[in-house]
Amino acid sequence: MRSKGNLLGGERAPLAVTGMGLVTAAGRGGPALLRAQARRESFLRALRPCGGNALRVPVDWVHGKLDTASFGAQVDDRILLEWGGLEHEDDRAVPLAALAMEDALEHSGPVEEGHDIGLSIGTALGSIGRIERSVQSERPEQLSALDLREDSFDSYTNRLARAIGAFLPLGKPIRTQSFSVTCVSGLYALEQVSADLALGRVDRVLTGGVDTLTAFMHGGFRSLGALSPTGRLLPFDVEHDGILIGEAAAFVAVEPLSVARARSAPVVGCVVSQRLVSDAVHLTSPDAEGKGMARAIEGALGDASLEPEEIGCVTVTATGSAVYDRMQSRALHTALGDRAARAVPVTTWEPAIGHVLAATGTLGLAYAAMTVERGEVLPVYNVTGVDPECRLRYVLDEPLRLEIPSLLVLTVGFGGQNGATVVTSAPMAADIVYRQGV
Amino acid sequence: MIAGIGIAGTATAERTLEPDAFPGRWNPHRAIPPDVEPAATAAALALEDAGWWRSGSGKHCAGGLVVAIDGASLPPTLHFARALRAGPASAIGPSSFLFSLPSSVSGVLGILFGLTDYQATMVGGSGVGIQALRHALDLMELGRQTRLMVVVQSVGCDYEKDPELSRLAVAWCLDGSGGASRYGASLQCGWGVDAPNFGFVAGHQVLSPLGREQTEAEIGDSGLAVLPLLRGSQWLSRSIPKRLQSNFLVRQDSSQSSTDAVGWIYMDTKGNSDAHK
Repeated sequence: MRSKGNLLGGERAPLAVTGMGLVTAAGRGGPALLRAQARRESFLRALRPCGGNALRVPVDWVHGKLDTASFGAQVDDRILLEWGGLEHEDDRAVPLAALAMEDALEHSGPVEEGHDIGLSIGTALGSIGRIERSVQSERPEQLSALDLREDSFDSYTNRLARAIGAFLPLGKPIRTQSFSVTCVSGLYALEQVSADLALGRVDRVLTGGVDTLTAFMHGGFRSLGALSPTGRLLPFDVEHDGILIGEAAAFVAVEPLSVARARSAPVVGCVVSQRLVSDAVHLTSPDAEGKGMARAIEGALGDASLEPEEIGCVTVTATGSAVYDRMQSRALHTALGDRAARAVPVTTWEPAIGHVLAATGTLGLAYAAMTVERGEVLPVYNVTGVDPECRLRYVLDEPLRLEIPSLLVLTVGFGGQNGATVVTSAPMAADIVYRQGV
Repeated sequence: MIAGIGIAGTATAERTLEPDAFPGRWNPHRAIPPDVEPAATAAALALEDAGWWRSGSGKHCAGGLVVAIDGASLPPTLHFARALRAGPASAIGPSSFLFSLPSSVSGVLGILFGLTDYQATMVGGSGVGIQALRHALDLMELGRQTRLMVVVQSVGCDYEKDPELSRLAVAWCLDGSGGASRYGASLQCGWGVDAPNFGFVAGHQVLSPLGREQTEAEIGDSGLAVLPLLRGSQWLSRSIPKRLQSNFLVRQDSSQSSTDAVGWIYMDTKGNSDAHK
């Protein structure tokens, strides 16, 4: 018998997702992403120079250095212009995150007087657009690295705290912290706020991930030779030729299920358990056999006292990289056993909006919660033929009914970062706690 | 609780970290990246101090890692942004892009020491060192981790002129298994609330606020995230071997204005004066 303390959120587990805010290239809100996937639509496009737009700072695009291999998924500027604070802000990364935070908080209901809210942010590069703007100045060679502190992670976190502060009871300070662990950043952010909830420091938290697609980010992946030259993100595919990145913000409002029920808040889904494991074999590549991811999966299922057959669906991070697709397949076979790994439906949203960097982990949780709520697994597209080394039951043609309201969310990050998170319906989460007998 | 400490930076260098300290884990012909070297050296010292790792063993080191970075990722960020401005991305090497990602520090530490578990990187301003320590203590209190190393790396104000002098890192190995630890002091830490009144007794040392302490001038930047752990390390090194009964409080007010941003670390050797073996 495992202790309930192993569930994410400790003695106050499971954690209910009572609000979510997604801003992606597919639009604002979770339904926009689901619609795109249902229509087999992709927002991955050729990136174009955009000149002096105040919300964009694309260094090489402005200078005409864009080449034919520049594809990605950007959020429509008209969506960012919906944010009310733009008169004070010229950094694309702020409205992107602020809109998602506002939506998550609004969906989760008003904050009562005296309640404490925590904010935990995951981001790989934060306000990188502002730094690019500084380097575009007339004499960038005179710029010192420490001149950039105004554009640093600290400054970004503060600006986001101010942005969401307007939605909180007057004068109430907000606890903030930021994590930067590439594409699993949002899951590390969740670890801290789940501790804050478990230790009674806060009543509700906003946690999520955000990154913008600027020239720096695009150029970084280009310098690694990681990007697809064809502009097609082909998951689990014999023809996959590289990754494609997108920008997004994904935030969820989370609180203990018991607290959410007591205030009659809408519960979209519950985060039951999570394990984060590092491969520590290479600075950019994962362990090809998926040993770290397998340990993460085994730990997350073990903490939730779930058998492999009790998982209704798996979402994977399908960036278009053969290495990561195969690694996740091997990890699932190792952790679940061959029979369960071949039986459980597998899906992903990434052909619609690309690999959304630090937003990936939280977007996975939100997507899983929406899948539990809808009771339907949407199919993957852009698959011309399944890679024989990807030996899973990919949902490719028609939507599937979700037989068990539990999802295993696999998130991979640059350099062998692995996250496995279990998201279930509220009744199943309550049943897990009951079964654990604490 | 505190099983080992390490401090590194050129000004305080006790050793140079060579690739052959990590057989089978690091290419012996490839130097440890300079953007990571202070953190790696501090980590090596702390792990050896704790008895968790031995140079040249090549063995995997059990435990998790929490790294805190303040401005330490800014120099490679600036370097890559300048290169991008000067030429197409396809012609630029990826090194400075990789180290503009703060998590590359923990990535390298993970490879060097075989830390294959939890591997968090926190980013922020001067308070991020205390935040990282608190994160680690929270995970241990909740039973989610039992052994963690906290590493804080800062970059000082004269990096462009003298990069060697302006990088500094501190590492603490934390053991939550409940057994006797090398440094017997109790450890508490908080972020976001005012420091509690601990009822100080003789032997105490209060450093508050950090910005007014003379020691910062030696480091070169009053906003460095390493400072609270550095001061704590110095107190531990001084108090524990002499079996002094004393306590220590460091309090740090962050530059953040819109958040409830006060951090503190409190350590106490009372009742633990014979813990140092």
